[in-house]
Amino acid sequence: MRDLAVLLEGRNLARLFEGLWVTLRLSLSSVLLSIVLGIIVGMFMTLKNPVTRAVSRAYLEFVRIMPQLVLLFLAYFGLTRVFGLNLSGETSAVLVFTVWGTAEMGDLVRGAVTSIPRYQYDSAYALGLTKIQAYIFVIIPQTLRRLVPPAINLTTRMIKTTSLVVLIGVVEVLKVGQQIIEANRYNAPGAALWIYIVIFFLYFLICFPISRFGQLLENKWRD
Amino acid sequence: MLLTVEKLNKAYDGLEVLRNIDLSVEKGEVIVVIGPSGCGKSTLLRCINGLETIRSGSISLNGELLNRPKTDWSSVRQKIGMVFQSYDLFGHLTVMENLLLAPMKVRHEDRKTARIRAEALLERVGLGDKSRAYPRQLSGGQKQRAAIVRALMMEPEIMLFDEVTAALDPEMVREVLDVILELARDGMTMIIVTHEMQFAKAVADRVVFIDGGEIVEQNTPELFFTNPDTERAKRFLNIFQFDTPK
Repeated sequence: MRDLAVLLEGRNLARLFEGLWVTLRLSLSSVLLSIVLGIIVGMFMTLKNPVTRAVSRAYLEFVRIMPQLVLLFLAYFGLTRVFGLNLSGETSAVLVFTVWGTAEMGDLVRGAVTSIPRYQYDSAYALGLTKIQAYIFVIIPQTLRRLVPPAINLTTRMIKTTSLVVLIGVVEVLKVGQQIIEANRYNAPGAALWIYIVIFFLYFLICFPISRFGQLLENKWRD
Repeated sequence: MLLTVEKLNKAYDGLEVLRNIDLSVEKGEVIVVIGPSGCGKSTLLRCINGLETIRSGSISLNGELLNRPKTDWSSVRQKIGMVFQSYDLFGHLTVMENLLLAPMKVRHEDRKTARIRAEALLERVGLGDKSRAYPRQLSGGQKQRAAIVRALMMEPEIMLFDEVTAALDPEMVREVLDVILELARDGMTMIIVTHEMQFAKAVADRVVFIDGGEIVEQNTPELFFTNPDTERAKRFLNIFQFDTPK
């Protein structure tokens, strides 16, 4: 019981929620930026030009091959060393997750756009729809339906991956948890389990509704 | 003449796909275009409603030249209905929404009157109970019948059918062809590309045989299927004959 009580001592629970807010702030800004930039980059990726193809391919592969942690170190320590750019931990984190998210999101957009069959365009035009009308009423709605489920999947992946920012000194929910555990190491050594269980539920609280929402849309829009 | 194609040439990257095509279609006439795969039949249909650009020649509808730089294809295509081989219904819309989209957005018809027309047409092709269904809930034959109705909603002067039964299971071919036959009886002008020879015989006023990108023979269905003028047509028709072993 002593272990469980640690949670309610002082501001421990409140601090965990503050940490959760940092996690949310980081991931939501990265996700939003990635969606906006990813749509633009995704359009760029659909171009048939060999040069733009090579550039977007290289970008995507680079970001995918590099572990996110390496990218974080690169942004946080590397940029300071080489360019004297002194970014805060949070800014570096948003930068890295946006660069990563934009690449992944761009690839999802590219996939969704190119998966619309030629006949959908043809039959829209054959009915007398103008190019703009065909996009507004036929192509874009279908692209969005194909895009939303994988985009939501990516969002939850990004939220979970933000826990890496601990390693560049950003204090988010996981770090707060570790601090509480450290502080109670002698008087309540068993608290660690409870703290991690709470953190598990906090992540669950954020990710579960998002992924449920994605499943719901997927079922509704299956075609 | 409702539709006149003269000296039409079409090439993809220097590869000629249609050569000197001359074809005129009178109002109410049913033309069936047949020929081996890849002979240019489908390309011809796509050129007629501007889905493909042509290299030279002319296409006129009601005496009005279509292949000009300033052609308003949106208004031309309202007069030319087209149904494709693959299922081309819009998957995110119900059957009814599929039918109403173009009348409301292109012709600015109000929903109520378009709906009444749509319901009548659906009833006619046996889809009266499917207006709220999504395309994924329909069989292949039902999808193609709905696609035909969607084209008819624009009240076209001529219909183009591009191998509309080629992707269907055999048992569904009939229900689609019956709809086309009925349109023919109502006097709809049509150009039909098909591989269904029995159907071609039944529906055609004139058969156009295309091989290697050019029109090799135009004939009445009676003569074409029993005694074609050209050697190439004879050879083509032989593919569909099975000699009874003696």
